[in-house]
Amino acid sequence: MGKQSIEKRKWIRNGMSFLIVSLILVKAFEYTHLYLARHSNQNQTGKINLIMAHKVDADLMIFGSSVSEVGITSNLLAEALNVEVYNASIDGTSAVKSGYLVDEYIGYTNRCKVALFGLSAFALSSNDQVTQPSRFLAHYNRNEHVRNTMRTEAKELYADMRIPFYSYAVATSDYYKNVAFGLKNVMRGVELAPDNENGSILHDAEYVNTDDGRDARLEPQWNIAEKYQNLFKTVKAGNVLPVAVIMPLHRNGQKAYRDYSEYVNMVRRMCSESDVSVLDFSNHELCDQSEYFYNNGHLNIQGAEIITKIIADSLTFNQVLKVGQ
Amino acid sequence: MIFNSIEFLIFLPIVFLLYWFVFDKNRKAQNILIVVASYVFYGWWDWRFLSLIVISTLVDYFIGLSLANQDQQKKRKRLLSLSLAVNLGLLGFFKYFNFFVDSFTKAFTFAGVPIDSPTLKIVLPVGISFYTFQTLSYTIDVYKRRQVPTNDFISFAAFVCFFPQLVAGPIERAQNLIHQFTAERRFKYVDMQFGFIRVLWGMFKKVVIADRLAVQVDTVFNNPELFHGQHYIVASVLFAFQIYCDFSGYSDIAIGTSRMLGFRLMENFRSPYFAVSLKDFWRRWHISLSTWFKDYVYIPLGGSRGTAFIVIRNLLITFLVSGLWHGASWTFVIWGGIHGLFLVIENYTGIGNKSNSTNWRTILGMTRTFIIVCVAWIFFRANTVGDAFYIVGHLFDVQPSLGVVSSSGTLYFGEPLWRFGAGVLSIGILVLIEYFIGKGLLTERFIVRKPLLVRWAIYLTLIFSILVFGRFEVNQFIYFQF
Repeated sequence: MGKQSIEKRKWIRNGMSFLIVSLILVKAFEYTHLYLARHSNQNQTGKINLIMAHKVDADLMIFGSSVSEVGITSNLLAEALNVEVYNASIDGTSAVKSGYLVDEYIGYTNRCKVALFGLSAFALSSNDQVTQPSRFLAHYNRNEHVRNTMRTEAKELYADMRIPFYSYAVATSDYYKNVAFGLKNVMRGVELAPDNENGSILHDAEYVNTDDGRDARLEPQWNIAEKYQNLFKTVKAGNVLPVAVIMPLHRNGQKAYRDYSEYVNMVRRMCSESDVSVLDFSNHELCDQSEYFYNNGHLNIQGAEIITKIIADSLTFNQVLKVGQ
Repeated sequence: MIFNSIEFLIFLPIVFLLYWFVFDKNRKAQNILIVVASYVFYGWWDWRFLSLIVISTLVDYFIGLSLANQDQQKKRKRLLSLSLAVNLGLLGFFKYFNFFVDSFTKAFTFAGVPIDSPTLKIVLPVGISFYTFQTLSYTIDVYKRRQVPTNDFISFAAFVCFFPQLVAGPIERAQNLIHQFTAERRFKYVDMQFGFIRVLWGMFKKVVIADRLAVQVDTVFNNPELFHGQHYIVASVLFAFQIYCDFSGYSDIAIGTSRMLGFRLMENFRSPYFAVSLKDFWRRWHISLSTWFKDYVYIPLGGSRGTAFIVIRNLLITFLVSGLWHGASWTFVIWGGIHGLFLVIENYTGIGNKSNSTNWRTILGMTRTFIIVCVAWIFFRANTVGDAFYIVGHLFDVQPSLGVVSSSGTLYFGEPLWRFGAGVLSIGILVLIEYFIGKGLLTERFIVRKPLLVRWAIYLTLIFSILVFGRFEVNQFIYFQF
């Protein structure tokens, strides 16, 4: 046997052995970190975990982005309506982009009567990406709702996720932080449960004008409105009443739209076609009062309190939520 | 295709297996495979620009052969001029057309004669500066009779487009690389080990250190007006390590990949931030480029022979051109100018002269050199000349805190404190490893001589570090733009 052949055999033997050992270790580690991430109760990953593990149920569920996460106070709403409320809004992403949460939740809830959709200024704007996919990474291969949402909302990610071990490329340092929290919970035997604020995040900060017209390209898209209509259908099919809320946008933020009323009219049409009630704060006096915002899109704790009370009054007035029925 | 991509992870094993296990009996078939693989590698980015590589290859191959058969100096000069015209013409058009037009327009406008400028939408072909310089060196060496021209077209084509070093170097010389294509190659287990560890180390430097530091560096350099002197100082230091890890990481992957295919490329870096003078720095930083400029620009200009004025002129020209080579922007020209200027100062003051160095002088020299290099990096990294001067002008506008209060809490260079700390820690680890490498205590040979389990532990540590701590959202290597 030639020297080359001996060297090649050695390489094949050692190389293949190393490859197999590496693959096993990498796969084992992937399995472990995904398992632990599913046990985190922190931040957005914690919220997603709660719903995916069916550990949260409420009479009124809120879906949307950070705008509704900080703008609608679960506990205040719960107190006013005397019902259970949970805010499942995920920051940086619209209800459509986190549609898997709606699908999953409606699939198991026995309690929910109202699903509130908080619509931010970006709700109908086009974007083929999802914010921080590492938040739902742990559920990607286990939950078909997550995959279905990504198939339409983040095509590139959907394609890439077919690559073995791609989870490592998606995982961020925040994800590994959740893995660490998950490890802590598993070791201490802590069960997933809603936090004290029931999903809302309250900001006690002063207003800063952040936009400067930088997002002047914002244009509402009807095809996204149709996706909301599909979500409304899903919710109705689960015998839950969808209600849309056009969240207040500071007047300075409204300037980012070529024509803000076009967005508002599109939301109204979208809801009207689906026979869904709309609570419209687009022209509320709050939009001119900077003391209720901490930036153009987000209400601070005082603003959230006002809006939440109006929502509660409106739901009570319309007898949308009757506890015990 | 880039090294830190899924495509390359699939591409390389396929090429490797075909190369060593299918075409291993036939050197020519191996070379053809390299050419095809290299064209696929390059065309993955934009196949249309393959035509530029093919043009350079054909022109320099035939000019090389013609030069060998031509004894008349006048005709030889014409042939060389043709090669220079074609290669530098392509480089000039694709890289510098808009820069020069824009600069002329601004100059005329400044002089009170506003003119319309015909700027074009030109896409810069990736790596054009690298392969152009590589082919040019071949023709110049053949012209100077330092290199015998090859009549093996496939070997020459492989030399021009060899995918590991095609888009970001090292810029190889024909004397070092071309004969490796014409010689027989042998599969050596140790080469595979050397190559593998080098690729892993390069990947670690790129995705774990460089790409993580990039977030902090970009935060400051993209919004300089939001920060203060202390941020500029730290961001410049971070950028020094970002660009080093980015570029030397690429070189490591190129050298490692080549080694696995049986080729030995030249070293491109030797712990440059341990340099005791700028002269020393340029013996350690981007060695393939600095020696290229020395051999093909500085020495032909007269080098260090002649009057003081001539030497200063030669140094400044060489470094200004080197700056321009890096990018069609005045920021790069100024960066080159700063290096040239300080080299002149070193030359005439004797600063950094190794013969009189003691321990404390070495440390002083290293510190001084590092400070100069970092100040120059400000111009290299800044988005505009205006930004660079703004940063330099506010370097000493220092405030006590590194943190900036924002709606997301106190951020350090756009990130939480722990992530900023992790970046600094990664630099510390790098410096330590570089120190041991520099002392010859941590070499590939040292690792491959360890028992199997120790070796595997080292490989797996690097693999897991890359997978867990690596940042994969940003793919491009900085030097691709040059």
